Amino acid sequence: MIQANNLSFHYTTKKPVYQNLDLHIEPGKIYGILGKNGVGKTTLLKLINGLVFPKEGSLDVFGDRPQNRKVSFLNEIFYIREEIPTSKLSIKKEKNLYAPFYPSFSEESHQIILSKFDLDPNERISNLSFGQKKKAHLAFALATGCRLLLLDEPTNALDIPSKSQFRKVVSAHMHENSSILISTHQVRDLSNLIDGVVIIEKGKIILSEELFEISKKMAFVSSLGTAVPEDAIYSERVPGGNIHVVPNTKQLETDIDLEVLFNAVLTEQSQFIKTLNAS
Amino acid sequence: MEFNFNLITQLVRLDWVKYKKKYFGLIGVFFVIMFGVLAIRIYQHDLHDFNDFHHDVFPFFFLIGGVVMCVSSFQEFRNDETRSQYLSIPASTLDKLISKMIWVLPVFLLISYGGYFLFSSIANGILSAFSERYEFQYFNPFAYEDHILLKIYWIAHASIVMASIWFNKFVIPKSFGITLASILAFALIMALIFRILFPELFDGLFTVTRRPNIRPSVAFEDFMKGPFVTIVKVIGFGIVPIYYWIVNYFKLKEKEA
Repeated sequence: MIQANNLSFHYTTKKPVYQNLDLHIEPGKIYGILGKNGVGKTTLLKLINGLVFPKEGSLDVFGDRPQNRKVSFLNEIFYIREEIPTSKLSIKKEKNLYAPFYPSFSEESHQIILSKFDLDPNERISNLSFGQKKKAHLAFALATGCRLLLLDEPTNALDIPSKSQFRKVVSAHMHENSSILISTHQVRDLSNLIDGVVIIEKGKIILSEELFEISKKMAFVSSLGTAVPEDAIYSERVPGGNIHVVPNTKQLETDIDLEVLFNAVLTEQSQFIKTLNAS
Repeated sequence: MEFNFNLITQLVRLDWVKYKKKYFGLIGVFFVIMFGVLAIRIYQHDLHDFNDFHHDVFPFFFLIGGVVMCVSSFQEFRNDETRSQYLSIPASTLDKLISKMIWVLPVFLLISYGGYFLFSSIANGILSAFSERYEFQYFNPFAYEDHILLKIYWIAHASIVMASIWFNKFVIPKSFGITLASILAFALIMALIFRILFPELFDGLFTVTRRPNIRPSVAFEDFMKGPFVTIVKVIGFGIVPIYYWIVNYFKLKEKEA
């Protein structure tokens, strides 16, 4: 679905954002794009949406070059920015304006999602809080029926119940062939939602893997004491003890702690990748 | 190139719903200013003929309105969020460009000429009803000599739209810069052609001679009556605006968020 080869991009020539980036993302999955602030997560989403253009290399999405911005391509992709454009129109009027551009738009889904988010369609968007605006946009995006949804920091400004609601709504209204890329630095918000992770550091993708594959190779084990297992690739202190990332030689079924995974990959990159690639 | 009439209609509708209040507000401001100018002229006993007043005032408001319309044609590009949103709308570059073209050409001309006709009729009607000094008469904005206002707008509008696409900030000064640069470039080319063909008319490089015994030759007069002027008119009124619209298409296609 998304294929990038040797992709390079920069805003100013002195400071490249990406150099020779390779990426392959399969359809029908939810991926979390993780990285520190300013690492280029938003830029990656913009590249995929055709809002900025690669300087070198190639990028194909649904077999099309995003920068061509063909109608058939734009019909299948929806990008929700971190900052939401405000409007003096009501949610319903805004929907009436933009829905005709999306042939697969479902009025029914839109209404259902709005009610799940507890939003009144007749409410003016400018009167909504930032979090509510995000939910209104997400409701529209999910109702378009597009094949690829790009979400930039979607859980920013959402309160705790809304974060859980967000996860439920996204997983419930995702179509069989649709995919979602979620860029965030709030990694905990993505737990129990994503199928795979893409971790970006210094203009490169240092990990792009499905969580299922990671959990086959790695175990995330907790301990109360300070003792670190001999084979631990990475250990982190958490309230009440430690979490260790160890090779999953005993085929344990452990939950992946995304924050620990992220920190493990950043600090012990080569050892982590070596263990992951070991047969 | 993709083209879809339904999407163009939808884009025009989108602009109408989003910006109608802004446009009505602007028309209201123009009406208030025009009535204010009219009142001042009456107070100063400076209003003798309605058509003189309209000939003074209409070009000013028409051209100011035209600049505002063209500068704000791609007002979505003024901020990051709306720029991304607009570029992501599933419509082709051509659809988006045509929808804006509809606003800056037929819609603007209809509103400006229609609006001024309405203002002049109301103003003339009020004054002729209250004062015998004034006789009611309709003002015809199209009665300008050689349609000069339309010609100025036609030549300049596409270059200002280009500035609206190209620049995200400070569009008005930048569009003036582009228009001025275009006019200067055009004037320089013309001056060069004249300098080469008629050296006797110049003292310095481009200084026109002031010697009374030097008059334009017959060749010069023939030249001015010949195809040259027609060619200049074709370039000015035909090729330049069309060229700018083609550039606008590619600028919009290459626009990044």
